[in-house]
Amino acid sequence: MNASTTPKTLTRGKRDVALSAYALLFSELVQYHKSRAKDTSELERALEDAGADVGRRMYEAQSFRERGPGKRENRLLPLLQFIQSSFWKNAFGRAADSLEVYDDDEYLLSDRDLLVNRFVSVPKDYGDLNCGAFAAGMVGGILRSAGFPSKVSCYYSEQAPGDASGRRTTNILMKFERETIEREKRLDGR
Amino acid sequence: MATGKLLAVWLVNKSGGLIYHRALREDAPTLDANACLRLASVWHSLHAISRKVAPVTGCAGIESLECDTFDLYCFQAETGMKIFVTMTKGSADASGTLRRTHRAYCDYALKNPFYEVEMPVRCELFDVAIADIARSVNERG
Repeated sequence: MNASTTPKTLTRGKRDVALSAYALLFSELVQYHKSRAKDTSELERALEDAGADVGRRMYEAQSFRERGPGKRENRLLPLLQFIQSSFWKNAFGRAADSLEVYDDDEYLLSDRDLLVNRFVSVPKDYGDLNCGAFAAGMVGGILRSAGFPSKVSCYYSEQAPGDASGRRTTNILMKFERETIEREKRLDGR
Repeated sequence: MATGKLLAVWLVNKSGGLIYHRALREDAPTLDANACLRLASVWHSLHAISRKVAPVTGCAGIESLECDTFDLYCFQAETGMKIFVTMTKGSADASGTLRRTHRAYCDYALKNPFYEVEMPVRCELFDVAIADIARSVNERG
């Protein structure tokens, strides 16, 4: 694609956003959905949906910038590594801490200090709500638009005994559908 | 002169209601919930009166109160919320402590979607931040 096709280039300078502004906006987003949701699972789903739209758009723009038009990741592992490092840096300023695989079709992305959860203390009466559902939604949105449909969920790690830091690791669990895994295996065998 | 130790942190909202109180040392006086509410409201009134009776214009209210047995330092934010700390006698730079407490409030209460403004602060991460501040003040010198 040449310069005349798009009026604006998609190159990106440094466009960092103030952490306070980001955190306050996220807080408003959660409060907006909180006032409309019947229960915590509905709230979590609303956050996931909001994240999915953000993830899909960010993924499209970022892969366009970094790889050029019409090129995208079509294998599972490189895509997940892209999410863990490059995408996480773009979205949250740092790479996620770890990416692990369970059973074949389950992958786990963990972040010790997820940006959206940095200032959030969930009250006890909200049970195991995790506002990282927004980040999980982003991951889900990317995977869906990249052709790797999956169920993405989000939960806190148990706090280690004796750890008084109050920080808890957020885990994002991706469970891929059978077709995706079979396709991967087929491509591996080729 | 020994450095002053942090005894307790108090947060009072703009209408004089106590929204946070925490004793941070064993020698801090034990107060029941009603006594805390009453004292916070008394301090709120005293602070307001001091602004009115000050002989100079633009007075921002009492910043510190030095007693025989303890010192009190107070900071009022632009929103009318007050933070005050009680400390043991001794040299102390309380402005840093007050600023750090205010910052913790801005971060872990105001940016927390489950916190309602003007209501009591019940946020785990805020408690942790206050404990950190207390530790760093009480362990120095």
